[in-house]
Amino acid sequence: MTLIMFLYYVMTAYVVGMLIWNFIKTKDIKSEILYTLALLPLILRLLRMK
Amino acid sequence: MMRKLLIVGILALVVLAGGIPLYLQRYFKEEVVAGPSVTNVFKLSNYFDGIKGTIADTDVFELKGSEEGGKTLVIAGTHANEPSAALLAYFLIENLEVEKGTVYVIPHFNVSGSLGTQPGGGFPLYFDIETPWGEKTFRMGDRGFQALDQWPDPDVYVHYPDGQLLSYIDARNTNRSWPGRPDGFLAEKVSFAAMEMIRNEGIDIVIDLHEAEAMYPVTNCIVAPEKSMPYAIGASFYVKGREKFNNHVESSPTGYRGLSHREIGDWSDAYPFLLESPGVHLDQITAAKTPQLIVDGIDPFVLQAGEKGLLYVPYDENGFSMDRRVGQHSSVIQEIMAQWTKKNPERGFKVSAPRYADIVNNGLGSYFKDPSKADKKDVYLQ
Repeated sequence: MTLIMFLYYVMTAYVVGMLIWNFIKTKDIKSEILYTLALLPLILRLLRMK
Repeated sequence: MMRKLLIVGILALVVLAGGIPLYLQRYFKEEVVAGPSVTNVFKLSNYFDGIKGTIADTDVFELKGSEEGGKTLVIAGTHANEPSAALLAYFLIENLEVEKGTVYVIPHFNVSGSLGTQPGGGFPLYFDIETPWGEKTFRMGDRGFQALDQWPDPDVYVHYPDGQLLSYIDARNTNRSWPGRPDGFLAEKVSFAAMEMIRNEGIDIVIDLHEAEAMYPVTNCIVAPEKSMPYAIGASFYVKGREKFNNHVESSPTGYRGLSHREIGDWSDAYPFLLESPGVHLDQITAAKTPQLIVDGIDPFVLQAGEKGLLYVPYDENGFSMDRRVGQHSSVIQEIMAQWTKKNPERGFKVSAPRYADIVNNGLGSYFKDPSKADKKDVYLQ
């Protein structure tokens, strides 16, 4: 894994963390669903599934 | 709180339901049984250790005859969504008999690309070939390196060493990465390793196997640069006259860089050829991308396009099956080597394998050996 690729994984993990934080904090169901949908591809990438 | 837990539960289910099949496909291994002519199996990284231990490294099968002669390298799996190439490689490994000369076969030149399908492409993860001993399963792949393995893409891919600006997506394309470089993208590194092999081994002929859409002009053909042209034309005439199938010749453009049929010839003494067979599963207009479509090549919308004169290959309700595609590749490869041998007898070849008519009549599956009945030391996982 190159350094740039590693940094992209770190950035992805950071964005996942932010999305989870916002998911926990929000009280709006539409936002909860939106954060969940945004999380899906990022989790698949972090788990190295796709 | 309950609502959030429910949403997280649904997310987990979607991740598992979608992700586990992708994960399993990435670690699914195809089996190939080394035939009687296989004399050695080694890693491409033998020629460039910059890919050693990485996803860019791949197996090279050596089939060496008892008599000295020329050397041919057959590259399959450059684009892993063009599966007749890898199937032809397995067919050669299991069936090609080499008396004179040496044939090297790489089944998965782009291993990473073979480990997942095109995102959003709707392709099945696997397809099966019927054999006398059951179904043999193969992975369906993608055109380029998986983004999991080579990430991020550049804004623009600058070809080395020409400097031509190409699409960002071609940074992961192992047929835009030739002649490669030791410190570039993984796709460039694997091409560089192959160039090192070609130069160090003194390879005479390099054949890069592909499939292309029926609606794309460069299909069902041999693409060759100037120096390979006489052999390509001879092979094309032969298969049309003797074996009754068309495989026309396309000239390799000098101004479009990074392609195997251009760069290998320009950067080594080898004579490159790129073979295209018609894989209608690649056409955008098809119905669902099913395993059957990949194997049979039968599609009603492609048929309609053919009736309107929009195709570049003859196409009817019988489709363009895997048997035909692999059969064409087998015959054309053998004929290129035969044409080469006529003009270069001291660097010639004496090889034989079932050809187009044999494969179409008997079915490709009849030529695959049962790994469960083979000697374990002859079974290789790809």
